Amino acid sequence: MSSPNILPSVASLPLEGDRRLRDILDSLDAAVQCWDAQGSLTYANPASAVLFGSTVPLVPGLAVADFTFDAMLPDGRKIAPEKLPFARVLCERVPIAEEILRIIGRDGEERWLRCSARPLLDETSGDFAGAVTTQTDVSGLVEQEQRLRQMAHYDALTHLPNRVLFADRLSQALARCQRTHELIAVCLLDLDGFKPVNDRLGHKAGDQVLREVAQRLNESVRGDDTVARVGGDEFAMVLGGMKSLQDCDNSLQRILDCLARPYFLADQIVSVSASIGVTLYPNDGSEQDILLRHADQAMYKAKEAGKNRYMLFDPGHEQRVRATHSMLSKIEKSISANQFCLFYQPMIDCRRGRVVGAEALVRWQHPVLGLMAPSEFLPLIEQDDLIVVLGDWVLRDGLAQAAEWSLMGLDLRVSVNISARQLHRRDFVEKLRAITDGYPPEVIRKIEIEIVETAALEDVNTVSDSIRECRAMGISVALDDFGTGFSSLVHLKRLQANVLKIDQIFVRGMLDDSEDLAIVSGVIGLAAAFKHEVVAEGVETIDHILMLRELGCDIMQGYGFARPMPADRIPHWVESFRPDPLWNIAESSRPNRDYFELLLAETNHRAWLDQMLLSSRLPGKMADPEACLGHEQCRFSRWYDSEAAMHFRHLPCFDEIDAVHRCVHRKAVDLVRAHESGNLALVELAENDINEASSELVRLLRQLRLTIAAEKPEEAPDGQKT
Amino acid sequence: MADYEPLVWSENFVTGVPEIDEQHRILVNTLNEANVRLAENSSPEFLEQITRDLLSYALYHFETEEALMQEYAYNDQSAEEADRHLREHRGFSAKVVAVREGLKGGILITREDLLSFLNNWLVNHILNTDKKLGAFIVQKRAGGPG
Repeated sequence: MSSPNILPSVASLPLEGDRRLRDILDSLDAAVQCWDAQGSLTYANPASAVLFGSTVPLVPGLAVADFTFDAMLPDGRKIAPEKLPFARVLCERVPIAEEILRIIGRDGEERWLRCSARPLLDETSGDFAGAVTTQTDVSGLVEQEQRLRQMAHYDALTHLPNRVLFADRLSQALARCQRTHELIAVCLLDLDGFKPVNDRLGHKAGDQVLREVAQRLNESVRGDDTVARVGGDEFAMVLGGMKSLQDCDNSLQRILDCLARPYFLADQIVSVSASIGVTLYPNDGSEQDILLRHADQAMYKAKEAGKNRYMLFDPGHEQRVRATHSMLSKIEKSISANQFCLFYQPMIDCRRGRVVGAEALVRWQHPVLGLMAPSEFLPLIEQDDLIVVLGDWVLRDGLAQAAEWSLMGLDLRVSVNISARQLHRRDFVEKLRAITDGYPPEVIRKIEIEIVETAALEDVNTVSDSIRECRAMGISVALDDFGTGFSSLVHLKRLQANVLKIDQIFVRGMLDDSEDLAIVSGVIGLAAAFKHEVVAEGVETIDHILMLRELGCDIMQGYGFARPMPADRIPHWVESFRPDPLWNIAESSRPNRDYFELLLAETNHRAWLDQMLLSSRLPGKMADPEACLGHEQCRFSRWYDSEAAMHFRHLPCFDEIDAVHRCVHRKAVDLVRAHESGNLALVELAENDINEASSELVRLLRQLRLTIAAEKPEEAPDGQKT
Repeated sequence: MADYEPLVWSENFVTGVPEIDEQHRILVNTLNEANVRLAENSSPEFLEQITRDLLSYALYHFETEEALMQEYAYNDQSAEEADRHLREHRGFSAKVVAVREGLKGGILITREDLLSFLNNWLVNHILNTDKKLGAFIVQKRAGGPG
């Protein structure tokens, strides 16, 4: 094909100058043509015929206008004949910059040429005398470059775009979306169960699966979408053209179904699935690389949630996480800006009638929102180390307060709350020692730390070691919110705390809810058995106080005594504190005990009713109908007929109570019958009836109680005061 | 169980104060997310998380609004309205704290109760209380009469 004798006419073209020059030109690999000033071909070397022979007959006198062929620039744009370098140099008569052209011969063969063209000037006159044009075949170089580019942009195994090209396609898709207002799903996909295939069947099988996955992915997306391989068994996709979340759901489900079908290898059937993380643009209006990170986060969630599924990234959640972060840094600044302070709530020993201590409760003096209670901000930091920073501050401030009160001669125990995170730090005891360092032992002994029961139970061994060390330092330890965790007796024995604090939620509920009462009574019993002190929180009314005293708990705190107050108000409060004589009526003798008896009767009745209502909701026979139904045998009746009759008969509503009580029992009979009939509607009716009757009974008992309290307020104390 | 339609953000909610509106959108998202997720899961852990998010929201959003109230002296202009506004904020926090207290004692607020509380509060508060504040601030920012 490169034989020069196919071009005899060209070879005989006269070339001015000596024969040696012509020999040189004839021997070049590059194609060279000479043109005269009119644009007729005067010489073409043999290499020219190799390049253009099949396209244009290179005969002498060939006009440059006829020297045309299909030519394109590297970017694929066609070039008009008059723009070819041959035509331009003859027209413009100036050197034409080198350019790369792609030409396609008649035989369809494609070549890449590097072309240049220079004008020739007459040696003597310097006039324009024609032009010389040269071309070098660079097809080999260009193909190599393309191969390199393919390698740089495509994955060799699956021929899918790689990470680099994916990024390019994604940015194009995002730009397009801004015009079309469609949704774009940016997805990261990780195969589930691929590694075992690789490990068990070898890399060849693994590669085969990856190729098949790539093919299935390509087949399940639209032509405009991009699927890329971005890691071992990780793929990325940009899916566009979606109008709604539903469209996205459908596409992703289709992809998942398609990938989960079995893979038939030569002698094996393999199955893998995929976990896909997705974020939707523009709902998630982040930058490109953040979008990918969000898809990645969602993909991990999909893995965690059990694989073979997709998870949508939730930008709202992200926003909240950011909000939480800014919140944390704000609280951090508030700590250093001294915006926190301690309020103190007195703890009262109701039996001895003394203030025994005060619980330090942190408050945030928020510059805008005002004074905030811990329940409003502690939850935001309790999972962050900030709670430890704040906790250390509380300890230091509480200790300083204890020292100040001690100096004033105020004998108060100062109770300080320790968070779970603070307690579980390895340096907890060490830090406590550092904070107490320098204080005299009698001040340190005033400190009590309160550990939430649930926090203590998280790591009983370490916590019990810490408690032992605290006690060795003279610091007493209370288990706070007791009853909300699930302490076993073994735990309680191991923990060796000094005090159990009953959670206020049970104290508040105990007069209305027999289960709460059972919990309160149980905790008090436990404390007695383990020789712990017991403190009740959330005490609001005289009824709470009486009931707690009856159950064996003497030390209490709550709004019934005082709300938490600034430290500087404590000394005055303690000084003006006077115990209420009523507190002791539970253990006093008649007639002062009457009030309490009525309270107890009311509570007993309520417990009975709760039991009835509970068993009416359970299948099977209602528990112990005899005891439930027999008006004469019930505990309330026994009390009513004996003790109550003795003490309250003279009061106006006493007889009415009996009538209502009988009515309650009649309703109980109805309830049991309804239950036996299995008719739920009837059960509900009967429950309403019995509740109504019971409310009336409770109302009468309370009325009686108030009458008694009004009758003999000044007689109550009888020497019980201390 | 009643199904709640998601609360769709509309022009109607816009107070005209960009920083407030942006935060309202987040609360609407939180509510809608709670709606969806509570349908599948109303465990104490999840309720704990939602109420914590709400507390966090209350803290930073109320701070934004109340700081704006101070900045533009809302109280001087309409003391009654400013007072009502603050009380609604405090009421929100108190309710969330109460729900959390309940959780601790094993009382789980139902999905219906939580959603209807959030829905009512949000819609009433934005449509009535916040829009008044918004109009006031927009007027102040435009340099309008006091």
